[in-house]
Amino acid sequence: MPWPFRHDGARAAGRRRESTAALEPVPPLYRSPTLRTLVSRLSGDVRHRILDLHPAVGANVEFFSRFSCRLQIVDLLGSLVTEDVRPLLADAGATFRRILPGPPDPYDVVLAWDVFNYLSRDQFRALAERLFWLCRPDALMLAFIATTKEISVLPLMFKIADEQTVHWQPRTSAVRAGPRYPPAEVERMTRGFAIAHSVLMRHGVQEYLFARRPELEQTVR
Amino acid sequence: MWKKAEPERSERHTPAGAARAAEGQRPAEGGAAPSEIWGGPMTAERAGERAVIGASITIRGDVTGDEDLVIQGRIEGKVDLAQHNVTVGANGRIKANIFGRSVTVEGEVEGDLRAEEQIAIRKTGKVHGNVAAPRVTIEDGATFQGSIDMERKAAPTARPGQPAAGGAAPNAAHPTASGASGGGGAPRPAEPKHTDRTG
Repeated sequence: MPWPFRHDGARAAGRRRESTAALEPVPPLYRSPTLRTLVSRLSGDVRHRILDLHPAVGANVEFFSRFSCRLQIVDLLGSLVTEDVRPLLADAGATFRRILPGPPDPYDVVLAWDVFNYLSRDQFRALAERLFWLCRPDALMLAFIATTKEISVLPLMFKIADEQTVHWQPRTSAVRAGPRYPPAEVERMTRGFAIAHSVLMRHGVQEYLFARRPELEQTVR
Repeated sequence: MWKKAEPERSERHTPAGAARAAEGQRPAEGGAAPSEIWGGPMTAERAGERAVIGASITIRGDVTGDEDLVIQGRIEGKVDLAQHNVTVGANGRIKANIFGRSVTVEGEVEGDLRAEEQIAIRKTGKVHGNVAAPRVTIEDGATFQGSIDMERKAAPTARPGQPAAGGAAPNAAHPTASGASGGGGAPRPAEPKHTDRTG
């Protein structure tokens, strides 16, 4: 089933191969220097407001329970295929305003995981802009953006094992063409954020830790 | 003579009979809690020390009481058993806020969950709402959309550069079924499957 919210969904869905990672009995476990940096900036004395754009994962809930926090879970990609959102897909901004209504308090951490890999460029920009307005001035955003030719057809499940290690669990063995957004383009599309930390991992994923840029309040539109 | 208004005994003990009995005695809107309607064993099944609302039962209103409760039916309103355990069974369909000592969800809930001890969402559970409890566990396969309010637990001290042990809190009474890797010490990351790249 083609992922409906990419413009090249139909074309990419036609070229499917099997990924060996999905066949592993134990999900691959990778160090994440970006996660480690993010966690190091969390304080146990502050009540954090965290937005997770992936489906709920018990391990991650358990991990963040060590901090006083409100963890808001929004299955962003799953929400794009719901009946009330589908009519809005032509307008990316309206789409994300519907899926991500304003919270009582702005977020100071966003876990985007691999969400951006499954969005078109318009949707990428629109999501980054929406997140800009939902976040506090000093907010941080974690994102994994693929540089490989192929990615899983479905977003991975990321389970935090500890402060610097993450299980990557594919939900299917089928793969499709990856977006391969270069860092310069990622930077342009996340105009409201600055890249605070970035590392290209050996498995072909560029890990980003973005910091919201408060000085752009008046110019990001 | 006093039995004239009551339904037939055999019918009363069937789920349909129980529903009709409740229908006849339904209070005005916003009136007495349905627990007064359900009362004793004639309209609610008792299993040990807990009450069970069967799959064919629909309640619109507030549910309060002084015992553990298993819900397999439908409830629209509020469920308030602050000192007891509330379980939404696999057939349970709830559009209500639920308050309990602990809350376990195996069915569907649209509403907020509050617990004094723990909230557990099993793999068949679907929750759309906000939850707040000292401990919240979500099994793989569960569906959750909303916010989770957590208070800080005493986490293992992590030295700089050294990962903490697993994700489990030290005061966890039992390991969660959430998939977090536990045990002593950080797991060793596997070698990546792709060819080396510089970065």
